[in-house]
Amino acid sequence: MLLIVLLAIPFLAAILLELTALGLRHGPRIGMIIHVGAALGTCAAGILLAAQVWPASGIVSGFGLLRVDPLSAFFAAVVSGVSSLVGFSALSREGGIAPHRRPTIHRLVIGRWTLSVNRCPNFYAPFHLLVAAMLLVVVANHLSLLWSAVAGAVLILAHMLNRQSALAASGPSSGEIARNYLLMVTPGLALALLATAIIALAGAQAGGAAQSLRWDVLAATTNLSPPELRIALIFALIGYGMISGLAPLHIWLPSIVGVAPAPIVALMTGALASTGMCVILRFKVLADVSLGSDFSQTVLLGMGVISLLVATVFVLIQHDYKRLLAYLITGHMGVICLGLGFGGFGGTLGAILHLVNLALIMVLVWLVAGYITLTYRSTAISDVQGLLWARPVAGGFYLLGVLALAGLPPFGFFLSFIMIIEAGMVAGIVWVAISATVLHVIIVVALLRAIHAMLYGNIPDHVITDQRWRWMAAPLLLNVAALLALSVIMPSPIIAALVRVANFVSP
Amino acid sequence: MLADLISRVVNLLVFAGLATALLFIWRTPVRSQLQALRWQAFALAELALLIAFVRQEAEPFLAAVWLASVRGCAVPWLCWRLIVRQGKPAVNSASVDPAIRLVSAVGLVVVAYVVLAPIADLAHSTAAPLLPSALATVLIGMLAMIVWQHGASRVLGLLVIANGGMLLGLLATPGVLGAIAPGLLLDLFVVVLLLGEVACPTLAHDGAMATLPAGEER
Repeated sequence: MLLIVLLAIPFLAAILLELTALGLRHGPRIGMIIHVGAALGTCAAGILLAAQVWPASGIVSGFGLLRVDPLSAFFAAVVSGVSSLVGFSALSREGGIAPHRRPTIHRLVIGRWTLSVNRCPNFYAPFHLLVAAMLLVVVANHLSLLWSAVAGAVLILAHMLNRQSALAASGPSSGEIARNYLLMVTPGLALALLATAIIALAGAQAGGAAQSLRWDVLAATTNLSPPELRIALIFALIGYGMISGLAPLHIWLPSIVGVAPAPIVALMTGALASTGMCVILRFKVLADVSLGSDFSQTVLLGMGVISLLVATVFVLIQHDYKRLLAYLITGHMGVICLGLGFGGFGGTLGAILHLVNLALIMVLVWLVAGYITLTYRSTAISDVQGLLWARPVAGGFYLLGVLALAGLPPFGFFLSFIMIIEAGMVAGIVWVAISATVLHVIIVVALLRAIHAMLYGNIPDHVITDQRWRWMAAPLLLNVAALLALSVIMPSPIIAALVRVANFVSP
Repeated sequence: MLADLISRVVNLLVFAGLATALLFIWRTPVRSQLQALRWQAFALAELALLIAFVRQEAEPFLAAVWLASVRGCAVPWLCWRLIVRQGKPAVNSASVDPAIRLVSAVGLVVVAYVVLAPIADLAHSTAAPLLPSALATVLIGMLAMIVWQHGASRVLGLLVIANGGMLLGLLATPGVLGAIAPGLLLDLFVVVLLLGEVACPTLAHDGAMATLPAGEER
């Protein structure tokens, strides 16, 4: 029941919000109330779902299409929580988007017929539809439904990119950004679809065609054909890894995030990237049942090393702070893959903790980065100076976010990174662990050098000093509180949920 | 005798799917590319019809109808109408020579056979040896998205990828609608991209230029 409520809230909210966009007198105000209520409701439902103890075998519902297990419950909480934080930031103009546009008349001409609709398009309706799609990915039991939900989420994101204008004074239009995003992301989706078809082939050969795409049936089958599983796992890792920002299909990330509005980027990198990693974990569990964990760990190690190397090289040569953050995502996703590749309870737990911290930190830094772009009208590091004096509140949050991203204590990245490296040492993969540490240190140095240049120095003439606390600080404070809860405080329910997920992925 | 004939027809249709992909990557005029895509879609539709006839199932029949109507007729028609309406050039330009394009495409065919050879050897199905052709079609579609500079041709490369995915789904899991149906979503991607690439001018967006008040961000 709770699962249905979790999916229904954002979906129904999207429908209602789309109706409020039809030029009603108090439409924007009603829309805002529905938006806040839906965000709170989704977040609460996700947390309630994760708070319950689900059996590792999971509970399947919805005619076999949906499932709840420790993995899906945990990621439902992450996605709903992170999305709610972004949703709250959308209420203020400093969020970097225009929640409501002026009413416009849309005309669609097909032959002799003309359809006219008076609409006041908003950000909220596609936002909640995207949240519903991401939650569907996380709780899907049918691989075909899972892929369709991912494709749907990508389409909705492209639609949101098209609707919201880019914030740079020059550069591509919103339509071009959306088009480039779809063009760059679709090959990864195609590979993921191939993986689904090959898994279906393996499942059909092992157990019959009818159940060959149900995850619970496949996970209980120990005689899936190894060659097909291996190829499907590699295709799935590359295809779904694209959404998470893993190399080699990460090229869309720096291209799009540099010009897209910051809240949408926060959704992409915080919530959708976590969703992609959840799917990768599902395929890993599938492969481990029939192949053993050696193959999946080897492939994940390879992807992790490649992602970390690519990130290190490109972080060193960046002059744009948004592209710098984009490559940091690739690097940290590589670290997560290393944790899963090293294996064992410690490595898996460290990887899951790293992923949750990454989702929260990405929301924090991207929301502030969007505000910085609005203030300084530039994404070049050299153009942003004196941030701590010009905008002390934003500068303070940005500094906190970057310190968290760098993996410095007391933030959770420090703990999770140590756990992952320790797992590598215990597994005997010492050189990879040492190399990862060295690369991470290089990334941290490059990051701190960039942040130093941005925080200090003389404020440009066109920037007006503003020391007020704005409404957008509220979700950022919540974000920082969540980060500290995951590092310093670490409540026992969160630890228990993390342990359940780690045991589910690596029993 | 009938089984042998059906096997030969399946081989021919899969070969037609791969050959039209090679034609797509080789030919420069957009009209020729659209023609190649039509033939590819109809070849896939015939394959799906054959599977529906042999297995006596409705799902491949529905897939055949979709392929023939949407990918074979509607999408190429829509693309050509939009290009003509916008007065866009109907001759493509590519970043590499035709010979290099063809050699690269053949190389991708070899790669596909190497990658899927283990499945082709072990899978106990007459269609298993044809799976690499489907992967090759997908890879050629990706190559097309890279080499063509005309926006519509890049988008049509996406359709070649979708056709390759559909081919793999039909060969690997002919009775599993769940493996075929998601590919239909890719058609939606293609239509959206086509409309965005060569958009009809009477379709009014809430465009950033048109509706933003003065002083607001672009």
